[in-house]
This record gives sequence, structure tokens and C-alpha cells, in this order.
Amino acid sequence: MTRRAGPPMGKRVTRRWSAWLGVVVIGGSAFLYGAVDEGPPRTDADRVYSLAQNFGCPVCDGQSVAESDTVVARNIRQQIARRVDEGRSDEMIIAELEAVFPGNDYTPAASGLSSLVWILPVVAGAGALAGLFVVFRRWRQEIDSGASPADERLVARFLRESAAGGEGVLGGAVDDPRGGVVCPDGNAQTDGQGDVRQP
Amino acid sequence: MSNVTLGALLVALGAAGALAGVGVAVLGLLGRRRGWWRDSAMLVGLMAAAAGGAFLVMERALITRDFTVSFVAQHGSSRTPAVFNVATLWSALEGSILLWTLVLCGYVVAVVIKFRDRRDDPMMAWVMLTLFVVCGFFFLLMVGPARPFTSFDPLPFANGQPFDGPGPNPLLQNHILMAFHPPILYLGYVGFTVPFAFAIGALATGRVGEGWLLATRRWTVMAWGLLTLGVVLGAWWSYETLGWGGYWGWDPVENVSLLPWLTGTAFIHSVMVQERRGMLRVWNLSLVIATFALTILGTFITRSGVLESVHAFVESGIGPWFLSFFGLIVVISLGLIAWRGDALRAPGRIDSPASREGAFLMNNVLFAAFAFVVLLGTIFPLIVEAFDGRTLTVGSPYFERMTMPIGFVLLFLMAVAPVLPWRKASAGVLSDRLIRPAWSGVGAIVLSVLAGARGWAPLLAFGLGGFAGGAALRQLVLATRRQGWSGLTGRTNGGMIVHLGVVLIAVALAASNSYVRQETFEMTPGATAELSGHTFAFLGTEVVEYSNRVERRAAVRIDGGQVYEPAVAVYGFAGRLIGIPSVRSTLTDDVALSIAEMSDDGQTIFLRVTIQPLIVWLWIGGFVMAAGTLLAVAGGSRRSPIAPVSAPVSAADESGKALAQ
Repeated sequence: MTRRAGPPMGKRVTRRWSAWLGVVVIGGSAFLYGAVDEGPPRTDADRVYSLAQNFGCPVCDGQSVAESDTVVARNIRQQIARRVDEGRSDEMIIAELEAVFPGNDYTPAASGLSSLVWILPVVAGAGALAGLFVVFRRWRQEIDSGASPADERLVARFLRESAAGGEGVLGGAVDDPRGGVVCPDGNAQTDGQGDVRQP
Repeated sequence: MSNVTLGALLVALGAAGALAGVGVAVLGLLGRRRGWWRDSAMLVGLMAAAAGGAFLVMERALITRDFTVSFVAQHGSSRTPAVFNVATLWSALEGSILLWTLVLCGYVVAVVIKFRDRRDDPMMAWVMLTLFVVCGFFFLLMVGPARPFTSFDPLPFANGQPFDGPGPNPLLQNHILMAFHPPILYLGYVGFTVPFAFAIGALATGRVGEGWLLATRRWTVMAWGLLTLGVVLGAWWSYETLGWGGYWGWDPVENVSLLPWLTGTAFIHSVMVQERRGMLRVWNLSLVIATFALTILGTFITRSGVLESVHAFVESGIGPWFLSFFGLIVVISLGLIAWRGDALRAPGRIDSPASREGAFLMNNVLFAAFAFVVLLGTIFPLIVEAFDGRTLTVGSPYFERMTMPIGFVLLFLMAVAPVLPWRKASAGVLSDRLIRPAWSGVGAIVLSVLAGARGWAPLLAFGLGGFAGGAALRQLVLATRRQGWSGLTGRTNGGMIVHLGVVLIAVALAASNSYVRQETFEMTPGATAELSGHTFAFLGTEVVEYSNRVERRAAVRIDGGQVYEPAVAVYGFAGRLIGIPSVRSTLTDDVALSIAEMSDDGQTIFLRVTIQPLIVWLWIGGFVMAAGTLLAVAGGSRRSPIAPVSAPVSAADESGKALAQ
């Protein structure tokens, strides 16, 4: 099996950086353009729908005002439409509805006991990430190289080959569907667990 | 023999079989009954026959309108169409428990057949004991608080008409999906009982290595796939039936169906870390136990009436039973995990966060966080009411705000994780493997902007979707180049097809939520309206009578083409008014029409029009996920079920005996 000679290492690195630069510039520009431009303004009907979605129907089993077709829900939708016509803000409309039908605002308050529903997931998430950070740090300290002289010779050979114009660190290696890589010369392969073994 | 007597006898027989099975399995564990497996197999056959027989008796009662059965009198009707007559069984509490028990017995029969060669393995005795206990619980429910077979005296009505029942809830008899969604959902829910039983068996025997994971790998993946399909079909049913243009309302019942899916998804990813590296043993056991426990908790919430939901069954006395069973599962499982603490210590380490196992760990943290947010938001109103007596509602704004960032990070991980090697990845390898998927993400953003998409959240979702889709396609291309079409099968490659389905769903969710337009138009015949570039012409109304309902339909022509007919219907003698939406689906957008109000003479309607882009891709994505699941279990190399880390059977036999003594 003959090996296809790849471009020199320096050229490969430049090409790689150029490709990623293109991703950042083109993707970032398109994203910023689309994110900053708000598109057509929201209509009154959009606001009514959005507000009705965020307020529970007081006489229904777990349906919002937008979902329910009960008389009460229809009346509340009409009331929302009137308030939107009058130019009131979303917050004012929801506050007025909550005063008449307490406990139906779908957005829990960020104060008092209700605030726990916002705070607890953030605290738990931060705790989990901190825990992961500590565990990884401890594992890193515990791990020594553990590589045998034969393994180290094998790695050194790969590095020499790639420096001599191979196709990367593993010299044109291709992905093994199990998650490892297979080298084109058939001399060695990783077994999907990162362990290099001779065939 | 009457249906009531026969059905009650069969339920009692099944309960007796389950209780006898518990006794036989215990005797087998104690070593006092050598033929315990044969006896267990017979008792499983008895239970399955009893459950199947009871199911058929109830169906016969529903189909023949035997109103001497109380369940039929309460939920059946001579006016209900045939297909919904069959589906009436799972439209109410007692019948749904009967279906659950039948599905459970079916799984237990499959376990007995599949693992018949391991009859001398003490782990199987624990597995069978666990399965018998769960079966016993459900049979006892049917003997006690959820009796499907009780007598009723169907006296004629005052006007001399013979007795007739009201039929199932009208919402449950106006769409064909009702015939498929609950059974498929139950197949998923109940399927997690099998890996749970093996987890208990592993803990009890001390064989907490990979053996139980390998033995139940396909069972878990199939249960997960069926649960996925069941949830997607449920969303589709909501969308087609409820008429408000939505498919997921973060309703408590919807949330509790999502919870086991989330922990199950975390589990099917993290098992790979244990199989490869022998790590995350406690975590995997906890996840599978949590998944099963959450199905029981979900059943409690759905059927006890503690939370209000449009999907909930009527309030019943079944709640304390489920809550007690949930408590029992949690206490026993945690006790076993604590008892096996030393054996559960992982022999390995994760070398680097930038590795396949590091990505799986992060994936699990995110799924756990997602499940925590959903669980907290669902039960938080109960907590607040218990503490200060206030009523509170937690709805979509909370869930969307809290879960959206998690969803974004999960999409990012879906792109990166498949290209990561085990142990450690160098920057060069990552760069080479990720560049094409990254360009795929860039292409998705550019195309979306050119198509007029605006807003940071949907664009980020489209970009990450393109990135993740590109990574999945890259893996599939590599695999099919090497292996041909068989490169589409096996866990890794089937999993990538599932990822493609997830990407389709994520894109559809982002588009349909971000660019939904809804407006209600007051119209008289001949009037037209316009929304988002679509025109609607109201042509008139007509009245159509069916056996179970009277429909008043409005004919509406969309974009000068086909006529669609949303309607309002009055069902049976309950006289309940139900909207029946009509939806035009295309690959680019859906136009959903529903009647918000109609005048008595039918000359004026309030037509609610909801337009959502890309919504059909939600259902396509669901079916792609189901197809990917089938491909994941269909082929690929399998490891020997003799686990490399588990203790050999002989050694475990000793631990099993020791435990039994």
C-alpha cells in the first residue's frame, strides 16, 4: 500500500487556521446580521397571542388563555386585546390580570418563596460544574503517563513520520467507526479507547 | 359467565400468580427450590394469560356495549365509532392500568424467553423477584383501588330509552392518533422495568460491573425509542386535536412523560462510558433507577389529581398506592447502592475533559439539570401551596427560559462528542474532524438569514443544528464508506441517525416557536382575510351528523386552493362542545384553522388562524429518531454478555447465597 504524500506541515497548519477563520468571519457576520436586525415589528395580534400564552385560564385544567376556548378564556383574550389597543405595556396587562385572577401568571415572581424556582437550578448547575472541575483536576493529578517504552517509541515514530510530510499526527489516519483511528499503513491502530496496538 | 365475573377472576388469578412468583423467586434465592425457574416461567405464563384474558374481556365488553360492566357504563357508548371503542379501554384510569399490566406481563414473558439459558444465575432470581413484585403491585391495584371489573345495573332512562353510556372524553375520540399514542407510550414507560430489574439484580448480587448493562442494552434502547415515539405522537395528537396551534404546553402530565425520557437519554449515553472504561457505575445505576421511579411518579401525578392538567385522569384513590410504591423503590434502591458502596467505586479515571467519555459526562450533567428544572417547575406549585397556602402556576415562560440554554449546549455537544476519541483528543485532531461540520453550521446560518430568519435564539439553534447534523453525517459517511450499507447499523451509527432526528426536531422547535403568527378573524360568508402572505376565504357552514357527534363545519379556502373545514362538534348527551381544527401541512409551513366561536345561525365565525414554519419536521424528526433506534439495535457487533468486570457466576452465586441467608 503506497502512501499519498500530503502538503508540508506548515502549509497544513495555515490551511487549517484559514478554514477556521472563514468559519468565524462568515458564520459570525451572518449571525450578527440576523441577530441585530429585528425583522418586521411585532403586531398587536402577536402581542395578544404571546400574552395569552403566558397566562393560565382560571377555570381550565392546566390550559393557558391562548389554548382554552372556554367563555372565561375568550373574555380574557378580548380584555388583553383591548389593553394592547390602549397602548399598555405587557407587564401592566399581566399585573392587571394577576390582580383579578391571582396565581395564574405562568412566570413565577423573582422574589420571596417563588424565587427559589429560579435560583435552585442555577445553584445546582453551578455546583455540578464546580464538582466536575474539582474531579477532573484531581484525576489529572492522579494520572501518570503509564506509557511503556514500546508505546513511547511508537508515538515517536508517528511524530517523525508526520514531521516528514505525512498527513497529520497519525499520518493519514482515518476514523474507526468505534471511535478510534486506523493508520493507512496498517502497522498500528487505536482501538477506540485510545490504546495503540500492533496488528 | 358474565364479563364482570370472568374479568374479576382473571385479575385475581394474575394477582395470585404474581404473589406466588414472589414466593418462588425467594425460595429460589434461598436455594430451597431447585426448579424455581421452571415454576417462575409457568407463573409468568399464568400472569400473562390472565392479563391478556382480562384485556380481551374488557374489549369484548366495550365492543358489545355490555353496560353491566361499570367501566363500560362510565366510558363506553353505543354511539362511539369502532376504532375509538377499542381505544376507550385506555382512555380512563382502570383500563389504562389494565393495559399497563398487560404490557408489563409481555415484557416479563420476553425476559423469561430471552434469558432461559441463565436459569442457574442468581442474578436472574433477583431479576424475576423484582419483576414479580412490580407485576404484583399492578395486579393488586386492579384488585383494590382501580378495579376494572365491577357490576353496574343499566336501568333504562326516564324517557324509556335503553341505557347508554357517555362515551370517552370527546377529545379522545376525534383523532386516530389516540389509538396509537398511549400504547406506544406505555411500551416505552413499562420497558424501563427490565433494566431496572437487572439493576436491582446487579446490586443484590454484587455484580455491578458491565454484565447487567450488556444484557439489557437493547431492551433499554428499545424502551427509550418507544418512549420517544410515544412522546412525539402525543405532541402531534395535541397539535391536531386541541386547536390552539401548539404541541407542547409544559403541562404537568406532559412534563412527567418527559422526565423518564431525559434520565433515560442520559443513561443510554453514560452506559457507553461504563462499558468502555468501567466507570460511572453508581451514576448508571442511579439513572436507571431514577428512570423507572420517575415513570411511577409520573403515573402518580397523572392519576392522583394532585396537579391540574388537561391530560389527567379523574381524581382517584390510587395516589397513595403509587406514592408508597415510589417511596419503596427509592428507599430500597438507595439502600442497595449504599450497601454496595465499595464495589461501586470506579476502577478508572477520565483522562481529559476533551474526550468521548468527558463529553458523555457533560451530557449527563446537562440532562440531569434539564430533568431537575422540569421536575422542580412541575412540583413547585405543590411546594409553595404546602408552605404558604398560595396557589401558583409555573408555565411555559419559566420552562423555556431555563431549558433553552441547556438545549443549546446539548446541541453543541451533539456536534463535538461524536468526533472525539476516547481518552484524549489533540487540538489538531479536533480541528480536522470538526471543520466540515462547522462549515455545515455556517451554511445553516447563512441560508437562514438569506431566507429571512431573524433573532439570535433561532439563528443560534439553526447554526448549532447544522453543526450537529454535519457531525452526524460525517460519522455516517465514514462508516458507510468502510462498511457499505451496514455502516448505518449498530449503536454508534444508529445513534447518529437518532442525532439527525434530534437536529430536525430542534430546528423545527426553534422555527415554529420563534416565527409563529396567530390571529382571530370575525368572518361572514364571502369574507376574506390575510395573514403572513396567506389568504383565507370563508365560504359558508354546513351541519354534518355522525353517530357520536353533530359537527358544524366552516368551509375555508386557503390561498385560493383547497378548501379546509374546521368545525365545532357537540358530543353525545354530555353536550360538550369541542373544536375540531383543520390543518394544512407543507414542508415549509403549517396553517392551522380552528373555530374560536360560531353564531347560532352559522353565518358568523371567529376563525383562529395559526401559521408556524417547519412544524411538519417535528414529526419527521420523531420518525427519524425511531428509525435510528431500530438501526441501533438491529446490527453492529455485540460484546459477550459475560462481563469483563463483573464477577463470574460461580463467585456471584456465593454472594447471592450469602445475601439470601
